[in-house]
Amino acid sequence: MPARADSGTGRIVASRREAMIGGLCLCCLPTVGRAAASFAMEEVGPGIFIRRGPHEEATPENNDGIANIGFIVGRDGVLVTESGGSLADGQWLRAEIRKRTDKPIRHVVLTHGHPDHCFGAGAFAEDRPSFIGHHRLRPLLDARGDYYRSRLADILGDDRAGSVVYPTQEVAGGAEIDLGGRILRVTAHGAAHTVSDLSMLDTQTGVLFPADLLFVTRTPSLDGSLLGWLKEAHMLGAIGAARAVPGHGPAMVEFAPAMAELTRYLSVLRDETRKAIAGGTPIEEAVNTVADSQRGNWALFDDYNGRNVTQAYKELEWE
Amino acid sequence: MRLSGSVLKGAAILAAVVLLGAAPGRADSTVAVPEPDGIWTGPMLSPTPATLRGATVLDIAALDALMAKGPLILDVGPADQKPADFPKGSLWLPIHRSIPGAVWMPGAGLAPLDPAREEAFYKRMEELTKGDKSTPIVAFCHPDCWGSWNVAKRLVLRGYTQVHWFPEGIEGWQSVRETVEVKPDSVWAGTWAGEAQP
Amino acid sequence: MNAPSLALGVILAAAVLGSPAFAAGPDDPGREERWQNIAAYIFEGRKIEPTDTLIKIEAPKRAMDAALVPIILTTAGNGDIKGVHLVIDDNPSPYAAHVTFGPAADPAVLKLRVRIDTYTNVHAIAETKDGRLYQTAAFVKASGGCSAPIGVSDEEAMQGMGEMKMKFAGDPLSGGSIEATLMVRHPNFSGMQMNQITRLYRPAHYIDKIVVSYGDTEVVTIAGDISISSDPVFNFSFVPDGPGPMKVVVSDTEGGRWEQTFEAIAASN
Repeated sequence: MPARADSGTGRIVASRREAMIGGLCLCCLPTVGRAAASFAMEEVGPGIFIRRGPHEEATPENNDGIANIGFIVGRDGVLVTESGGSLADGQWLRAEIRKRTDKPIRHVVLTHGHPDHCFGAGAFAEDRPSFIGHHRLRPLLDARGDYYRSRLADILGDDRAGSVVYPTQEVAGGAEIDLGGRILRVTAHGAAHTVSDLSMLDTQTGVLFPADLLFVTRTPSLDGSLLGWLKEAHMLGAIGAARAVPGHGPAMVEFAPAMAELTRYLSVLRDETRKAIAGGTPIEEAVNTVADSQRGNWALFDDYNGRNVTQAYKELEWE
Repeated sequence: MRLSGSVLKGAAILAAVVLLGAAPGRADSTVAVPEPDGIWTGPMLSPTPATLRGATVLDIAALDALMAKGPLILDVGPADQKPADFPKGSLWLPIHRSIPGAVWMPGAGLAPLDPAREEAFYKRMEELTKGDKSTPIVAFCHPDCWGSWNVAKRLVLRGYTQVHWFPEGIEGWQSVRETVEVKPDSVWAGTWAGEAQP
Repeated sequence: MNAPSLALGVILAAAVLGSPAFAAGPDDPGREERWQNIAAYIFEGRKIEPTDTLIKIEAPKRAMDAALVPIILTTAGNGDIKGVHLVIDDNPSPYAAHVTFGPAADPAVLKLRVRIDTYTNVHAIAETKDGRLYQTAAFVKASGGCSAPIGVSDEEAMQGMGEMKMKFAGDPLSGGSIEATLMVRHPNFSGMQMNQITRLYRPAHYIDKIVVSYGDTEVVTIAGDISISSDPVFNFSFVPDGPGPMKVVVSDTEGGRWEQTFEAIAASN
């Protein structure tokens, strides 16, 4: 795979991401000491604290595969919006929470069933929060043999690993979390990015937490339903939130333009895949041509677009 | 532990991406996995750490370079499982392709491992290294597979001093080099006599 | 074996370009011997001539998804072809499919999707009506297609099992062939996919036969095995004689049987 120019500046995307894909994560060595220099927790709204990913040099043009972790503070307690991609990250996050408040950590949201969005959850076991997850999260974790149950059993002991890994509060439809005068509305979505996506709205500030239903700069990865994702995106748009914390990208974005970008990619993916299917283009050719026009807008395009096309093709050929 | 070679490139990435792409539950961003204290007893196919205390992690370039020293190559990838109810008369002809010169011990990285079998593993390793615990050894299987990590860890804990781990596995190797068919090490296979080999 | 140390840039370039210097040998004698053994078993020692005209195989050189590798088989020969066999040499169950053509078939193009377990030659063998065999091959780089864990729960994978859909392309009134795409929902469990929690292997459960007919005339019969991808999609051509309809009967290894008819004459895309 040739070194790729990134989206805007023409600089070559660092192969650090490539190292991570290969399993050799040179930058994520889990030592808490290293954390301090590279992370910065930002207060992006009243009582909303987000850290955009573990790599300080990431920029909107050179987004390098980060997930945004953080927490919301209410009168009576704290909710963790995304616990992160490593136990060390989760531990760091917990420490950051404790720097700012003593309030009990009451809730941890498991936004969907990709391992990098759940792995930090174990850091909060001792707080005995409710782990909030989509009702389809548990079977997804079972099917994929998610490993952190055993992993956490090693760290925390068998008696505590069970309650940490799986959601203790399952959401079908919607749920409301009251942090004490601060209501958070959680929505369980139909199949979109995955089959287990949750989003959340902070009714106090109107900030939306779409998790991985919103990717900014980094190529979205399709692991649920393309048509479903477009539908859920539209539904989120109808909420009218002005600002959002995306699953990947800057800590806070203006929601409408960011979602419009994502929707454009998904729409092109849908339309060109439909065209390929109708025109008899076989799947192995389609992966090379569909959505090619979008390459310049997204980082890591070559890593994810081809696979998105395959998923889209498999879904849409049944239309 | 030192990280030998440099950042992964080209072929290894493509190989890893191909496999990662096909793997379920793949991450949308990095998953940083801490090293377990002992041997990993969780699901065998899941993201692995970046390091292995007491061993050297190799990329394809470093492995290529090390081959010149004639290390003991230890393949612990699983054998193909014959499906139950496989139709009689249908052709079942599993083939395991590996790095030329590799010793194949499927299941040596499983955990927990029957104590007798684990002893047999150490005994076999002693035979293969002629009792020399400084023999360079390279353990591998597949990307995101804990088998080779476990086997390398077992060797480190047993006192072997030049243990290497090649996380890209056969996928990383075959993208730049030819593979050859290997049969399971006969002594190791003997310890599974009467049971389905992992 | 003493391998020279390589500059990373060379590895990078070679991997990108698929340079022959590093090609993972489709021609190596070990592979040829295995192919000969498999062919001898399947075809009971019958002679197989190489061809580059009678049947052609198109496959991606490097598969994006080893569990879904699209294969296109094209045959020439003016109605001389009785059937085609697909062998994925290095798959543990190498005999992936046997397609026989009935009187209503046009064997010119056949497409299917397969699982490929490791870098391998894929052989397509055409059998003529007078019983002769001809083969061609393509080398495909893919890994792990047969044992790739199922990404969803068994329940989800089995949802809608047996549902079918067909699409047709071409003008039925022209007297020429119509291209048909048949899609069936079925997990096609290979029996080699491990459940990570239990460490048990989910038993094989796959479509082993599909019979397609048009009116009363056979179009194709497809015998498949665990090397066929889940939710199989087959593409074949036929010459419609009369109003049809097209009838498809699918059976699987657990006694599952599904039958459905489709109107081809509407010829919708």
